[in-house]
Amino acid sequence: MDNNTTSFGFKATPLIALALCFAAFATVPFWAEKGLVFLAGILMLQIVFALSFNLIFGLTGLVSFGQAAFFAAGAYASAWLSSYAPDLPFVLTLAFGGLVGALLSVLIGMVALHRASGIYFAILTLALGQLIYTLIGKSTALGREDGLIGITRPNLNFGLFEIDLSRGDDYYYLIFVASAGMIVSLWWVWHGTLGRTLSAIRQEPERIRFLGVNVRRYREYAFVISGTVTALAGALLAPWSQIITPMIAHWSYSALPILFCLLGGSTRFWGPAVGAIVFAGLEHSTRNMFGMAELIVGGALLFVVLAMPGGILGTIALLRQKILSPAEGRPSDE
Amino acid sequence: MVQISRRKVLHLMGAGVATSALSAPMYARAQSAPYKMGFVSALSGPAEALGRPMLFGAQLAVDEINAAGGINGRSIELHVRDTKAKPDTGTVAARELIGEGCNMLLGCVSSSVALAINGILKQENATLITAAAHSLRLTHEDFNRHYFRVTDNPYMRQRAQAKLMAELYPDVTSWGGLIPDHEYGRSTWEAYRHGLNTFYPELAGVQPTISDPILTQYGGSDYRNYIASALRDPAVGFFSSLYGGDAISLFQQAKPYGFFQKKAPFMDSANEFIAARAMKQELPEMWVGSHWYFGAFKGNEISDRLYNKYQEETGNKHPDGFVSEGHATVMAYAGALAKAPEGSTEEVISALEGLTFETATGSRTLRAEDHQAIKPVIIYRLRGADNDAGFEIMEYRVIDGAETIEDATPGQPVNW
Amino acid sequence: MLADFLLIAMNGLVWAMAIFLVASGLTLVFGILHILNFSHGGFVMIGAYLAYSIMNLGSGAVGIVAFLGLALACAVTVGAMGFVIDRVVFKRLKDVDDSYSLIATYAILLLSEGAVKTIWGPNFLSVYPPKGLGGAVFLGDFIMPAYALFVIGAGIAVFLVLDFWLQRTASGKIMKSVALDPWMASLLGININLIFTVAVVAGFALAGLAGGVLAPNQSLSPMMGGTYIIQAFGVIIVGGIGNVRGAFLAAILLGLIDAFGTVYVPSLPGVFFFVAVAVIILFRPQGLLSGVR
Repeated sequence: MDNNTTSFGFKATPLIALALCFAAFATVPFWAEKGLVFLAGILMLQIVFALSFNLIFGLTGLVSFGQAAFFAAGAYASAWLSSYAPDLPFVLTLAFGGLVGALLSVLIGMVALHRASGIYFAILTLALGQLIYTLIGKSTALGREDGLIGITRPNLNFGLFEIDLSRGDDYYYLIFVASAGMIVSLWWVWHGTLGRTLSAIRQEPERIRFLGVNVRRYREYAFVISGTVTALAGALLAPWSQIITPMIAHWSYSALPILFCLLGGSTRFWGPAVGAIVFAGLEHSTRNMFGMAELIVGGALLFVVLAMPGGILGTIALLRQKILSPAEGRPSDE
Repeated sequence: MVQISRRKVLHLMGAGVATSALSAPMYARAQSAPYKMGFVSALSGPAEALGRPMLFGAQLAVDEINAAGGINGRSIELHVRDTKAKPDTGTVAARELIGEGCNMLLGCVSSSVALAINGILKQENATLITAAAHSLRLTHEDFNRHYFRVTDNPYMRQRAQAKLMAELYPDVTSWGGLIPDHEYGRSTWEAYRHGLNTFYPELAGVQPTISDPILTQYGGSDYRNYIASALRDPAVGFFSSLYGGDAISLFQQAKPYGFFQKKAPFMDSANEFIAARAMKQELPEMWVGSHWYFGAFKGNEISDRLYNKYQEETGNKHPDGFVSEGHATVMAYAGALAKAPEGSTEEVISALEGLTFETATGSRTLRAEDHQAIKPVIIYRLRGADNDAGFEIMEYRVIDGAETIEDATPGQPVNW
Repeated sequence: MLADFLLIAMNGLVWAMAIFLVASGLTLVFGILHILNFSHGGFVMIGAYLAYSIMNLGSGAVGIVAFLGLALACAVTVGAMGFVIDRVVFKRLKDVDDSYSLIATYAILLLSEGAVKTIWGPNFLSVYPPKGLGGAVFLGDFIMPAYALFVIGAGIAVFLVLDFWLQRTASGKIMKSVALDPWMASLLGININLIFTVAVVAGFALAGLAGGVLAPNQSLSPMMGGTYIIQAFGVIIVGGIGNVRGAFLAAILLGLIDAFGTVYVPSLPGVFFFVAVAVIILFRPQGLLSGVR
């Protein structure tokens, strides 16, 4: 906040990086082959997944180990509705996915935040998440362990004109626009009253409680917003991958946003996005080293944790600070 | 030893490919760019042990064809991608391969991956031939013209197994099952039960008593609770469609209860030599379903070549059927390309429909209506033994797939 | 009927003791260091593969005494790996946020899977039970595999030894005091770094022991580490994380619930464990027993 003007060049770097990323995602279909376009679509949704997860993790320090349950709830709810009532406008099926995610997060949030904290919160959400994973795998309406197959990409009907999203890269751009919208909303929450209150709670829980702030209420708000946005990301995924299986509710999928946040740096808004992009790059570049993938990904993760506590963005900020002026205080969040 | 067998292999290779009439020198000068094929299968993760032999077979077929001058004078280029047995990774891999110009895809271990790729074939204008992936939905409910299966399906396999049981054990009229709780488990059981209900009255003159199957959880470490349920079940004969590590854990844990003495005959759906190789002398006696058994096809040039080559390179004297099925996918494309030298997707589909081609299990035909191959079902009886391998093949049966195949009803569920 | 009931209960106990063998080291390390070690299952797997290799040096099946010796060898070897990992990784995790230890140990789990695949290959393997434990014990209608009884015995033995160590011996009491308040313990002149190292090595050795003892229990594959770890997590959280007695009780409770649920509600395999864990944590979020015991 009190950064001096000499750091202008450095302050601009994040903005330039952001603009470059935006441009890269916007133009992927023009320069990349099909596999990469598909991957970029999934990556954007994973970024939203991780950023929404970080509302809880980064702002309150609570590790929700069942976030994939919301992702799966959104994906399954919208996919189920669109196959059950194919004539419904796509926006409604999407909203239905978000709604189911919101309800589930109210339920789990009320229970988990009320009953547990710290590592217990993590394991309780893990157990509830695994329960939902198992239940999806047992329900015939949701295709049991085999999932829902052949999910069609929708038509967007605007009355005057229609956009058939099954053609070419149209659905990619829908994901692009929707993800951008959700990221802007998340940015707004993170930097708004709720975000500021939560980070104050994280730093000074007792003092804030003293001021008469209902700490749990605020955490519940964040939990529900996080769950809803995650569910919307899931709902957008279903028509993109055209098949969803219970794997997206599995605990290993819940581990992904945690990984992204820690990799990129959870105290910064953009940290999880950086983590997701770096991780996807790592996985994609090692995909043909059959049998070596675990060793390479595992080794790289271990290196980041040991050599860069605070994640990639945290380390960059630290380096930047050292270069600028070693005496200066903590750098501000981007 | 090795020297001799290698020379023999090379000799057979030359002979085999030359007689298979794949080379059509007419087109040799017209176009010389290689045909691109994309191999997608599990090369890591839980199904790696199945995907690797599949790749071996496919690669060997490509090498043989190229060594003999290619097809229409054009060689084949095999691009390989890992699916990790995950549908989304498989889809990325398939799209990537298509992006590289491989409109002919092949491989696939798990049905979920095949179903996922199946969904994009039409819009990406590509074809897929699977060497496993047994879900009946691929040739029924979710049928589309771009998908073919060179191997058998649960309807053929399990009904053939049931038929064999009715022939050999007419006195065993009560049957139970242990199946994994997902579609593969349920469709294998449904087909097996259907087979029992068809063939026991026909061959043994009795109506069998069939218990409800015992559903098991995938990827567990402890199957004793399911074994307890099976022991409580009055059925005498038992069928199991657990696979890989789960099946081995089940067999290992069931054995000391005297399970395999109490529940006999025991019919295993599709574990090839996988459980036998792991358990060796401890393997209980059981009938096991297979795609290909080299001992049953001695004299078939492709089979002998595959066996010798596989043995030579891996030291494994009991190759699984995935080797022959990987090989067969390439042979199917090769046969189609000989008829459709342009290699465009539309032409390849037309050429594949009704195509008869040579494989390690003899000639197979791809049914034009639903793209399901008609091929023999192989079932052998195994048990642990004191020899180098640790187990022996007591006997084997080859059952003509045409006898047990379902009616072709593409787009519709199986007509039971 | 009674034999049925007994069979199901005993099956539940076999599962319980198998998971307890895995969970004991996990809960010990968490109790002292507050690191939830994701890679623990990976080292159980490495222990099992080591047992496979040692057995195959000989003729295959070994006697019970040799088998116990072999399991101890696995414990020592994996314990030594624990010492290295403590030096290279865990020592550096003390100054960072708790959740970083999750990602670090997850990375080690991936590395252990990769290592197992590189050394032993991707194929399924199987280990014979020791000679004399291949058969079953008969009691009227009731049958129990001898090896299953051996697993139950091993679980109880490990519990008794650990409990005796923590409750009755001086070194065990020092461990507990470090777990409760490391700062105060260091003021009292306790070398807490040494205690941390001892806890990690003991935890890994328990993983190796579990691997050795459980090698004949199921098939071996590079995915084995992940199979055990989630069940072990459930057990230690229900028991009260860090609490060895709690883990022992929780394993038995969850094992019985899962066994009876699976047999009497056959249409829902694999659901009971998670339902039980979720319900128990809802009513007792801190677990059955809390604190380090």
